[in-house]
Amino acid sequence: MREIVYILFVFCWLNGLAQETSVLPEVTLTESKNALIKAGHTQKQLRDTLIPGSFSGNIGDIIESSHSTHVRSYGPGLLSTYSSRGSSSSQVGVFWNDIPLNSPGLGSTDLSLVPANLFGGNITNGGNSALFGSQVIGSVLSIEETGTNSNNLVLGGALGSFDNYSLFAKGQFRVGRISSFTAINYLDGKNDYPFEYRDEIYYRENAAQKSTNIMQTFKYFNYKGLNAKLSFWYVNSDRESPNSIIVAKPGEAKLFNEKYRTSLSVRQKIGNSFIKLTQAVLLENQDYSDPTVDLYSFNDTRSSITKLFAGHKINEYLVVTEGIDYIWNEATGSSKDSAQQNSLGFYATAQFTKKKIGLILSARQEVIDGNTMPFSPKFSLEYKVYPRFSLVGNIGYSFRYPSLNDRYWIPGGNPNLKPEEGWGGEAGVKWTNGFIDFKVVYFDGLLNNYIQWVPGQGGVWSPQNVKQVRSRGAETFVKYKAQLNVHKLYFMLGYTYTDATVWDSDIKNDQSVGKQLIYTPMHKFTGNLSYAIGRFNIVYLLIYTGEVNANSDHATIGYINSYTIHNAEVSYSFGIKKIGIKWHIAFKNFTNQTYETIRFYPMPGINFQTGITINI
Amino acid sequence: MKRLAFILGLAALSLVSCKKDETTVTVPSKYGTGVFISNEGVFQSGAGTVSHYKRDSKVVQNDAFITENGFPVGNVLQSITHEGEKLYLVVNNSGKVEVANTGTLKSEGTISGFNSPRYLEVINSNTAYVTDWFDNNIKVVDLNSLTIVDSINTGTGPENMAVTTDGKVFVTNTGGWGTDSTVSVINSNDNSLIKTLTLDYLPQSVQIDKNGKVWVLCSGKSDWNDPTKSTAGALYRINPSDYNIEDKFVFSTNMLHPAHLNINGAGDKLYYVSDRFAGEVFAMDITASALPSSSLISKTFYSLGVDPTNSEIYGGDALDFNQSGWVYRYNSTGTIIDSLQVGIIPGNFEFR
Repeated sequence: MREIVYILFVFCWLNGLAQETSVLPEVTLTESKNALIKAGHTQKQLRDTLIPGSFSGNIGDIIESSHSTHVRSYGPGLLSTYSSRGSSSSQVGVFWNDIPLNSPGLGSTDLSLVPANLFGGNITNGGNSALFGSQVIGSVLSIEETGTNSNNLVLGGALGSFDNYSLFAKGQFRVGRISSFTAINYLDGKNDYPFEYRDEIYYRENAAQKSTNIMQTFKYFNYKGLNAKLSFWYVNSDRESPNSIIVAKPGEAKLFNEKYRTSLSVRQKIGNSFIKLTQAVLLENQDYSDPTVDLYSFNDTRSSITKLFAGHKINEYLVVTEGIDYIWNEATGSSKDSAQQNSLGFYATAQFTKKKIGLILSARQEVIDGNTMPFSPKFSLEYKVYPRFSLVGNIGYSFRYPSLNDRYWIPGGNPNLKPEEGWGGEAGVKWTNGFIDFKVVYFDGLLNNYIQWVPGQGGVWSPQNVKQVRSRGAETFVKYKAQLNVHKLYFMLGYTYTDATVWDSDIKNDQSVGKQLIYTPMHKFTGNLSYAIGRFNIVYLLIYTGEVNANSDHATIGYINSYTIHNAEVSYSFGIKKIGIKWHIAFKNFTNQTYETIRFYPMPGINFQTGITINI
Repeated sequence: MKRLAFILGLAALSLVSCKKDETTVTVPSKYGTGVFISNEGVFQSGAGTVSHYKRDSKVVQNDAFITENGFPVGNVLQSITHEGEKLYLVVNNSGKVEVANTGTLKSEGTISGFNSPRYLEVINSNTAYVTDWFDNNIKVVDLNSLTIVDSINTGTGPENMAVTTDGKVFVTNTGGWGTDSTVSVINSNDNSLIKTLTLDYLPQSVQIDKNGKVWVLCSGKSDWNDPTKSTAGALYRINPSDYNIEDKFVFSTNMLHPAHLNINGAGDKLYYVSDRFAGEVFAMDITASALPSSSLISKTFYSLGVDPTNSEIYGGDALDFNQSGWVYRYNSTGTIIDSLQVGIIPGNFEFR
């Protein structure tokens, strides 16, 4: 025991010496919007440490495992979305290299189709329409492919429970000013896991999935200040869609998704300024079929995104950026005629940092289909009170313009919907003594014109602006990371308290007023402990999710019980000549907890995964 | 002890779910005569529930089935039918009929093998018909073995049924995903299709009056792309002997689609809502020469039931379809009596 205390003390001391500073870093000229939301926020990296079983998981697994953020999932490989600060899946923005990924038709991103082993990024909770435009009310998730700066080739494969296996390969090389990154990922699983219902054991049926991701990126580096990046991302997913267990029959529904995403960005640096032009084209096809009810539907979308972004470093304290976004969306489907949407957004930011004070002032005005959207300003502040202690805060106005499905679905689409909009802000502290990072923020926001699909005249369901929602709470995060010789230790605790309630409603006799939003846990806790010695790495992960209610009035029958999931992974790394090899085995839900995140959609009990990664 | 019991009794009485006029109490009770309310529950991720209302004590027991059995009845409880001591709970998305004891609600078996069952009609002590919406047929059920023994093809999307005294079953074909305008007439003695009547679009509900005449309410077709091309609903009176249409009442607007035809216990007054899912309640004598011009109850309802024992009217309000609904009770003249908080999406009423 004394040895452990001693090691911890030495870790703390060494790290404390290394990290103490009394001023904020100087402002830098950045080409990423994501970098503009650091000051005054508590941005979190997606991959601070190893996540057990993440080898063949998706980015939703990473979010839930590395942050106290709730992820709603119908099961492995099935639709998965995340919720932050009480937001719905269409009130969070997901961006790939600053390109919005939320489907213009559905309004959200299925995280189960974003493989964890190809992407990294970060997540910043809170609204930020000032920078990102519509939809960023609850959070923004920014992902980018995980390449390296050196030539390499990584091959991997894993086997797991329920006939799951995955393969991936990613390689990178650089010749002169050009680099190439190529990645392919394949997942296949039957997902016929057992679950208990009415004191009997059943096996999940019609839950198989196959998905392929192919990614190619070329980068051109710094010729007279010119940089360029061309990216292509293809997704093919063929999934079965199981019924809820209460339906009590297997179902034959299938969901097929195909996505083509390409992006070209060119950045020219001129003195203390830069200008960046990005053009992206996104094509998505979704086919749903359920022969048992003779139902076949499709939903296709096309998007063209053009972004012009410029930045100027005025002096060592001030950076100013401005940009124009033009987005054209089109959606067609079996339940809607061709519907188009044109949006034009103008925004500007000013970052000021001097010694202890960091300020960001940003504002955006967007016009969609000729309709002027709410003006969206945001003010962020970070003040370093002491070398180890900072105050952070921000306040901003955010909005969500309804999706094309909301507006043009046949029947019921409502083209007269108003955007959801409202103020939101947060205030908190960051503290570090060099070896421990601690963050706590209080957040509060009121969202007006909350959209909900309700039945209207003629029995047609139609989206209406019917509610006002207030979301407030606190997020805390403690992290410890240290290394001494062959010992590496990482420790993280995250807790989120979310009080997201219906504040007012236009629905008569609405019993949901004053109650927590459906599928929004009040308590979410995540703990992660990782210890590496030499070639071994051991990781333990705990995720606690408080009870939620699936019914807006919190009817007794609608509760989903709280649950705690325990995951663990052991890995061993070794080398043969210049080839690095890593073997891992992960046990997920090793206490065999029975749980659901969507009511009547059981999640798997104890399951394992083992795999190997070869780094050439 | 008596004082404690009195206090507890008062506490129980304080659990009021009544909103207006009279007190209604939500406490556990056994089930005898009364009203079974089938609450559909949220599609896929929800569970259907049974509410039971006792007329004499005005007590509502919500979640009655799961309370008595420890498991939910299934997904989308479409309708409930009782016959003697048997209660048949038709669970649409689960593709089954749960059989329970009427007095205890204890499960006594499951009839499975349906695709999308909607309504059950007991033909005799051995046989029941179940409309199967997606399969476009009626499943013939042996009530002794609780198995499907036969099927009878109908039009598209069979829904409600009414049985004449001579055993003819009139089945409304609502069109499924598309449209239909027919009523299938089946001879329940040999399970054969006798005739197919062509009426207006979307025959939705059917009743038989005290004179043995068959009334069919057609909702009319909705054209989602061009609402002006929607068709108006119509109410038909049919002679079941020769299938002649004796009268036809066409609704004045094609923007509303009438539904949920009910009849009182005396069989001389019809009730319906002016629009599916959210319509005002209208009442009409079977001898009337025209449709009523004004509503009996101006509030809109998702579902409608008329108690045959006292002609009280039950209107179901599903609110936002994701929270506990309400049932409003009116006397036969449309005066509000009280309201009951029930389960999610109260869709049908079975009076015992």
